[in-house]
Amino acid sequence: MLAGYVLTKLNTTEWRRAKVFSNIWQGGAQTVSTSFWGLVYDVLPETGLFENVDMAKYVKQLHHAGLLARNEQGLVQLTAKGVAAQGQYQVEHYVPRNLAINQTYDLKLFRDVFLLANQTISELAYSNAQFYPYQIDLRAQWQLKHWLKMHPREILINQWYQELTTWLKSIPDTDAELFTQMLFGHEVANALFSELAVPVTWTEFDWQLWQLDQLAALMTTSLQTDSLIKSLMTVTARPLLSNSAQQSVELWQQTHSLSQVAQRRQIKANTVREHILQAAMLQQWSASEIQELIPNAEQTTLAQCYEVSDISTWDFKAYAGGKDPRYFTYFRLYQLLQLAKQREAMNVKL
Amino acid sequence: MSNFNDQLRAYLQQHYHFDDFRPGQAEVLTALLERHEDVLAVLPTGTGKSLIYELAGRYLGGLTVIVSPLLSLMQDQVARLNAHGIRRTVALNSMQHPRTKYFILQNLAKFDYLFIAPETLTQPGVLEALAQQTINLLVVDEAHSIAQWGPDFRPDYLEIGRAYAAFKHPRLLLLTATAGEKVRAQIQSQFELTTPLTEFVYSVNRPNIHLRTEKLANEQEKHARLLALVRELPGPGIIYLSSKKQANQLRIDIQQKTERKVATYHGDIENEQRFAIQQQFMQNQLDVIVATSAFGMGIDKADVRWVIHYHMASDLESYLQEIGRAGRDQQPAVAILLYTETDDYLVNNLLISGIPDEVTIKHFYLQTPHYVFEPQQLRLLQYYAAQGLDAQAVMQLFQRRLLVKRLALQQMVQYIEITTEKRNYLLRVFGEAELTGAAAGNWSTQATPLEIPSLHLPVTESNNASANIDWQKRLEKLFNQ
Repeated sequence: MLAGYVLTKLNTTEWRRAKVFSNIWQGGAQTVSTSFWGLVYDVLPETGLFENVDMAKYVKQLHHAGLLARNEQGLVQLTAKGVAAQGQYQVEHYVPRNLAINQTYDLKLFRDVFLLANQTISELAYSNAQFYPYQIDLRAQWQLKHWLKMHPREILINQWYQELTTWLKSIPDTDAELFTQMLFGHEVANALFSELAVPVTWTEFDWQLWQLDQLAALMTTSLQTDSLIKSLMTVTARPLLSNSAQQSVELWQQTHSLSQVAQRRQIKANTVREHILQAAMLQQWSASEIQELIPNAEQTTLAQCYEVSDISTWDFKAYAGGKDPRYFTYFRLYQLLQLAKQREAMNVKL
Repeated sequence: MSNFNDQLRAYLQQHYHFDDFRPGQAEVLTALLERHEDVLAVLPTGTGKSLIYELAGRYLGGLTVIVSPLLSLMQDQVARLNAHGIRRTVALNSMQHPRTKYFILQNLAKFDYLFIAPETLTQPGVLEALAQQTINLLVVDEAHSIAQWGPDFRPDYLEIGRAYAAFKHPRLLLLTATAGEKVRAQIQSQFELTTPLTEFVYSVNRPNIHLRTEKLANEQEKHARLLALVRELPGPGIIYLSSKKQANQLRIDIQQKTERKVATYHGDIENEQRFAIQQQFMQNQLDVIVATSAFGMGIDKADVRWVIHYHMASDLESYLQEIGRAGRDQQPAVAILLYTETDDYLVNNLLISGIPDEVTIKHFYLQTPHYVFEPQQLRLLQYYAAQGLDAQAVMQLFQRRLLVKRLALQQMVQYIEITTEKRNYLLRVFGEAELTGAAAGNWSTQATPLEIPSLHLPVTESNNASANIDWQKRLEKLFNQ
């Protein structure tokens, strides 16, 4: 069903890189280029959510069905038939809304940790230590064990129950029913997909996505209070940047000199530039912060080169083909600047 | 009774709350732990083989390494030990993220039991890390796989002997439910032993399971017959198929055309849904599981009343393993195999597809650029090339293996065809003495109608306690409020 979901990520005006989606969905280390296009396509919140995605197969299927077109570079966009299929998909299937938190907390891991925590607390409420535990990543399991030991039994049971009750009362009753259907514990099994009261057009993929999206909403809400669930989330926290990129950015923020950072860290200046670019993209730096990184003269040249608002069509060669790699960084930063301005304008509007 | 036996029984009562061992358990444990012998135990399904290594591991201390063939089953085996109060247990296999594997290898000293796939066991970094631990017991679960799968499917099975030597010859326990004399000899030959393995061979016969085969004219008839059986047979049951796609389709049919609550169970099912199926089946909220035979089931449900094979297994060993899920509570159960003439072609094709053909072997040895190999076949060819075999020798080896597999398939078909002494036929194949009188009975074919009431299958009531309660009540129930 992921093939249909791919349609929701495309449009008729932009040629998009299918590989960017699969790289992000599969998780793992991202190149600067993947992060950039991920930001442009607004798919970074879905990092690591669909590990087994076979994008080449989906593109082939959708292309064969006449739903998307491919250009000579292998980029894809929707056809008119694809637009209709996209609309139909959005009506018949679940489209997530709350996934932003997945960039700072590993949402799939949180689902596993949350379900096992819930099961263990439920068994604890019946003083039963002999049960088949839900199997999750071993390291997370150990961290969960440590987390459980940090809290007295009564607090765990009562506060967990209260927090879930408060959350479920805040969402529509039908969602609350579905949410509790995914929970299991002492002599209570979770529901099979076939017995859920969901639209008939849903597939198991929709159900998986719905669960992740609801948990993302619960996480986002829990962050605002001093809750048990918030403290459980720390087990699944993930840094936006790699250790190395983080070090470069911190040093650079102290010295404001790329060459000094490169020298001290004994890495190439271009690697430092990439680290800063990653930070600007993943930490979503503001327009004014990005503007500071581009020399005024370059900003003027860039403004003269590119007037169209659609940054995905900009050709680097029009600005500085063959020059020093630093100019590519300015080019990317200038693109990021436009994105940041759009984002800020949208926020003001909202 | 000896002090040792008293001690064993005390362990049994303390950790498992049982008063008595099942046949074979105490004998194997005594040989292993009191007489310090290495053991090959052939115990029928449902005799509690895992209890033997759980208990032996507790007794010996140190690390117990269990080589297990089914990757999908490993996490369930860990969960089962957890449920028995054994927390320091972990699984290591290729399905895990490299980060997780590294984490486990760094923390090996913190575990008492390690489940591992043969492919992972023989990896250089893994074998060395394990060799540094005090391993007191090496267990090979489903040890018939060494002979059944080693030569043409998972060559790493042939390397377990090397691991045994690297671990400095710990106590060795090989467990299986089905292994004839030849298979037992093949298993023995994998290990360099100063004294031969002590063999305990218990009959494969499961007298409480009624054996039935039904030959049907065509697929439509078979399908209709299956639906009729699902409607009529009481209690929880399992249907085995060889295709995931058909399993999914069959689930929909059963759901629409019968009153039974059904789920499919195979490798593509999400972890959380797999857990739901297992839990519901255990709690009698689910009546029927449609499973692919390639996918193991970690749950140990004692009161499965029936197993139906919609597609036959590729050999009698696998068939007995699969029907062995029925009637573990020793109460009456039934195993029905539905068959049409075209079914053996299907299984035969599956057999051929696993083994590299001559063209593939030639391309491998010629190192043809850009030739696309099946990963499993490539691994196999690499293994034999590393053993110094040339293309001709490999071709001959696979031809021999194919012949062996076809013979095994013929035995399976023969079991269906035979209209007399069906139970004794099975015993003959496994080199056991034939039974006489009533003990040889409790089987039937399509020649006689199946009188379900006469099977005296106990009825298990469905449990719908958690169905149709609102979210508040569900939460209250979960947290005992």
